[in-house]
Amino acid sequence: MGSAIVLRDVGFAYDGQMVLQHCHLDIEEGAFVLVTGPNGSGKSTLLKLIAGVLCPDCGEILILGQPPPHPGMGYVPQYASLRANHPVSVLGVVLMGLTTPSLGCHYSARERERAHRALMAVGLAEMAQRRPDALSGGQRQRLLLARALVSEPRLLVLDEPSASLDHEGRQALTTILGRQHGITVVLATHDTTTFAALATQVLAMGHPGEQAMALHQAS
Amino acid sequence: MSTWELMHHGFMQRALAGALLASLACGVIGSLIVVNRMLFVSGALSHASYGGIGLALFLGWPVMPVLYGFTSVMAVGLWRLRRRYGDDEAWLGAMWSAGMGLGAILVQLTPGYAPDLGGYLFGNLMTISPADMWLSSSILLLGLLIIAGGYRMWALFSADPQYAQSRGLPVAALEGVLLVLSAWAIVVVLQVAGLLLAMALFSIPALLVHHRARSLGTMMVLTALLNAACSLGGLWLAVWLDVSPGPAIVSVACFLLIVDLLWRRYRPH
Repeated sequence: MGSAIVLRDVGFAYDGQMVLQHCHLDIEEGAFVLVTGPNGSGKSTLLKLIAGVLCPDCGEILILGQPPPHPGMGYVPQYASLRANHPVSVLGVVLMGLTTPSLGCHYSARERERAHRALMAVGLAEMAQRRPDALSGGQRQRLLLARALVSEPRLLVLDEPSASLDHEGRQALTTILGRQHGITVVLATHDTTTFAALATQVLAMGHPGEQAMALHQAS
Repeated sequence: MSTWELMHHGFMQRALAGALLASLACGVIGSLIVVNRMLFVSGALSHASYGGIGLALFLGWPVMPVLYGFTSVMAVGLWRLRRRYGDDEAWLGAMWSAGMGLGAILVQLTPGYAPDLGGYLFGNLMTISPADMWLSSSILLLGLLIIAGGYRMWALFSADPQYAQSRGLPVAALEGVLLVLSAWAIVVVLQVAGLLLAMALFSIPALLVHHRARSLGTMMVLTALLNAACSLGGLWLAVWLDVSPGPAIVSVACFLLIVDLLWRRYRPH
């Protein structure tokens, strides 16, 4: 199996404050990697670099052999990234997962069908015409997962997907993630116990200021 | 003379066409401004456009083409500043004041009689020339084509810029294009409401629709229709009361907003 994610000597700083330095990483396709570490250790920054939301100050990142952002990647940011009170339906949010940098005005019937299937997969099909503001925290998280899954990605990157979820919400999330066979998953979380059964590897980030980043097999 | 009889005059027909053009600009581009939380950016650009008015008068050039050029340059300048130094509101304040200051100096330095600036400050639909109408129509058509052609990208960019970046969308370029489109929409609306009242037409109808629409496209269409209704109502009110159309149109929009607020507060459940 080839590499899904490769980082070579990657560094990144916010306003001169180093967050990641000399980072090397090689994640194989099909792995389920939990990214753990204290607040400020750079978990979200690492995921944003992988997703192509941020550009590294130095070094090289390859996602499935190409620099990010990669079309075969599904990214689940923290819910706050979706603007509150935005005029969009739940179905509309999922359709965004099929948007690419190209001209186009409408979504085809086939694309709508795919979006409906993605909503069914996360148990939100009946809420397709609601606005996302009307959903609970757990439902919103599943909505963002549906948006990432609708493009049938080879790599799934999730940033704190279980934050603010109750026990039932976490269970629903792990069930859906457990069904994604063959997809490489990189998931940043403080909540390692919820995803322990799914994880094949753990990437432990060092404390803020330290540059240690260790990838090891999940126990 | 009744409003219907007035409609037979060319200036009134142009006033109506100008109002409908502005409604389209407010509906489509204004909706993008509101959902992208750029209302104060448009406020800064509309006030800074006074510099363009002063420049045109000082040079003795036609005002509208100079205004389109001036506000476009300001929009690109603002975009560069925000990309380089961060999204700081202070830039908006600086641009707001700098444009107005420049305009005031240039108007005072303009030789001859001081021109009447009331139409630029509060709008005057009745004085739109055919040349201005064609220029605004062409520029607005170009803006609408840009939005319609990339509607899927605009919808994603507006809802979740971070996710848009992860899908490979050119977020920085879209932000720059939106600023220039805002500048164009502002000049179209200036003819209706003037630079002091333009923000009302961007914000009030969009506020009425924002929480009800389930897609950006629906919001654009409903906001344009609502703006058109306010414009027609305002024009009728202006003829009836013999006042300027701009303030009358804004008054109609404000009245609808108050009715909506009362409805939301006291509607039967």
